[in-house]
Amino acid sequence: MLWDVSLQKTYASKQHQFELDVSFQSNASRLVLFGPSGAGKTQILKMLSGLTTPEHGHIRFNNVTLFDESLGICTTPQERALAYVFQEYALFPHLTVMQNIAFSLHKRWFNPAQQFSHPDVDHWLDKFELRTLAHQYPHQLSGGQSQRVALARALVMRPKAILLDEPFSALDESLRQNLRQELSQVQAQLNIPMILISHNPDDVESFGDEIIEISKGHVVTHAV
Amino acid sequence: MDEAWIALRLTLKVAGFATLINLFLGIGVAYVFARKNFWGKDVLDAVLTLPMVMPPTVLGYYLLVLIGRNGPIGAFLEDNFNINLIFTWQAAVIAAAIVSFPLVFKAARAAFESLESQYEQSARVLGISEFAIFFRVTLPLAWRGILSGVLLSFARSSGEFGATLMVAGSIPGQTQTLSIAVYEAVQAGRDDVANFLVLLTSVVCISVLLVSGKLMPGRVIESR
Repeated sequence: MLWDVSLQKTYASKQHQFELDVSFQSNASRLVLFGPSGAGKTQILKMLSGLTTPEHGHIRFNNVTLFDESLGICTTPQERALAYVFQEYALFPHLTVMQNIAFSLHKRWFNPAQQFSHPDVDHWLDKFELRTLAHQYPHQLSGGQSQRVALARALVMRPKAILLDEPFSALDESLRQNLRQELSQVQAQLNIPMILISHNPDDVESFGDEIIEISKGHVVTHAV
Repeated sequence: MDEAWIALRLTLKVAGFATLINLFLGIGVAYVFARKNFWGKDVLDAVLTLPMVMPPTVLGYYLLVLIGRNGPIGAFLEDNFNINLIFTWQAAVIAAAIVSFPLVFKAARAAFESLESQYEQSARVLGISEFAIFFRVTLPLAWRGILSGVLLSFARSSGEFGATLMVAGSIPGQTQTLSIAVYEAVQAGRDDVANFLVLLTSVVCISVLLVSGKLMPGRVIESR
């Protein structure tokens, strides 16, 4: 089984309480978590990546346990090696496009130099047509360019799977169609498992081999 | 006028060491305060901020009680290492460091707290260790805010008077910094020396401000 997930967590604030209780199993290489904003989709993705920890449940990926509350197993995000593309991309503002993409290839205490070179970085710079932007800073990029950089930065670490949080929501409609195609091709070529979360029905149509609909912290439907 | 130059050198030495201490201590403590919650945090925060609001002479008195020959720290140093801190330039460094600590602490804490968590999170999912994230992401992004605190701390240290006089005294050539030398010259009716010292101090202060303007990175960093 590719994904075997069961997550429970209660978020309580003074005003209200939100209960997340989600379980699913899936073998789909393209899985879409679909639902309105505020349904808890981002929280699920963060738990899968290890950025937050559920109170109860388990996460198994490819039959490897990443988290199991009852067994006391909780691997770090670093150990999980699942790429995560943030909704706002979260490109490092103090680093160039090239340094952003090379970020994970350089494990030491300092960032890759501006002249850093690595065949994998070159590959993605060419693949996403970012070569001319290699020495620009994130604030100089358009939305579509930022998205490609974020994707390249995630893929260069050769992740075991890629998690995308509303990857097209910050873009205008004309760009979305192109980038959906691009992402679809890359995913197919690399044959890398992908979970994408979205509230946009068009994303579901493009990527939804399997669709899990989430509402108010619970699974409503699971369509294969 | 040799004494003026000696006082200037001593002032820069004392302020330099005090700033160096605060650079490590202030940033370290600020990072812990910005990222961790622990019992008694509010009280400790108040204690660490105290030097900003308390009269320097009161601080100097506390220091005398602590590091004086009969104080707990002073007696320990004297018995074990044969070190006597009172009336040395090192005591002036300690006084200046304590008085200016809140300036680095407050600035660094605010800088760390205002940092968007997604940058550190995305470094985490890219497989970078927590220690490396601090040097590669957190510190570079918070540096502008921290630097302003560090420069203020240097300025405050070089102008320190009350606490320094209490623990280090006013020994020409050894503990007599510029601000103390001005006071002594006026007391002794040596107007020419006082005039020169005041002029020298003003030039130093303007230089610090000019240098700080140059050190501040000009590039606008925006997040997308």
